[in-house]
Amino acid sequence: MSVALATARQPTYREAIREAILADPRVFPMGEDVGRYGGCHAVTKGLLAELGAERIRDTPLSESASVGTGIGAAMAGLRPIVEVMTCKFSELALDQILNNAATIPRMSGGRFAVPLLLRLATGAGRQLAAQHSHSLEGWFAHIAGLPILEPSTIEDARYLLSPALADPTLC
Amino acid sequence: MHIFDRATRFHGGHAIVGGGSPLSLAVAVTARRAVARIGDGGGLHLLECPSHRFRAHSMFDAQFYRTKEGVAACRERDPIARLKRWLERAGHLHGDDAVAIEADAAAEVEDAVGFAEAGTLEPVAELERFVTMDEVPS
Repeated sequence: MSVALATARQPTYREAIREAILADPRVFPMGEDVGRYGGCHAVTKGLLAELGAERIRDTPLSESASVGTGIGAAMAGLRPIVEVMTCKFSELALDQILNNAATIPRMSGGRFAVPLLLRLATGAGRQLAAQHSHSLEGWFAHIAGLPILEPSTIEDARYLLSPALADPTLC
Repeated sequence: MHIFDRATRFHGGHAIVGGGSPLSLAVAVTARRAVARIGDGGGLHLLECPSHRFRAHSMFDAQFYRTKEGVAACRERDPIARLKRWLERAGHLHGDDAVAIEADAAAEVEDAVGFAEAGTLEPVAELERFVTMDEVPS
């Protein structure tokens, strides 16, 4: 058993994103450095070259703009995965997250869903220092209409992505 | 801040500002020029036509931040009123056309108000409805 574990290939979040993009033409990652740079923590490394700029979308340095654009895309029928480099930067898009993404379904009487998957890297370590090491999931869990998934292992993250994209109750 | 100013800086000068009326000569000329450039592969163009709101932001807004005279001056440049005058002068509006359009709009607003006032308080049982969605509407 221990031999089998030692030789098993480590799953990656990158393969989950790649699978999701290939499985559904509506799915695309979007955010700062997801394209040319290869993604924060390399989660989209190589995907721009393989899948092109239509599917792997770099955005300007503006979280309010990228999250807002993702919300609009989701409402219009796409399934964006918007990446915010560290969860700390989500504060810059809090109006979009709280007032739009979490609120529009209820406010529209169920006429609109916001099937947006927002990916935030969170936690301490990796030389990210004081202003990039927060864990804000506790805050976000207090926002009605904003389901939180908190994978604690790479395996959790890898195998949560596909069901998260498929589950409308996470909108 | 004007959006066109940003677009000019970031997209190479293809943004245009027009006065209060979408029918002003300046806007008509610049719009035509923009359409021609787009046709020639000129890329993204932005036509910004700023106007004003003539009423307070809400029922509780006393508008201490602007003068009555200023608002009246804005009203003079109301693009809808200017469009109406232009259409009348150009002979595109006939008889009771304008009255009918305004009556339609007023009736639509009255319907909406009537719908809202006839509504009932939401049952507590529906407190959590649509907080998250059971399905994504197509």
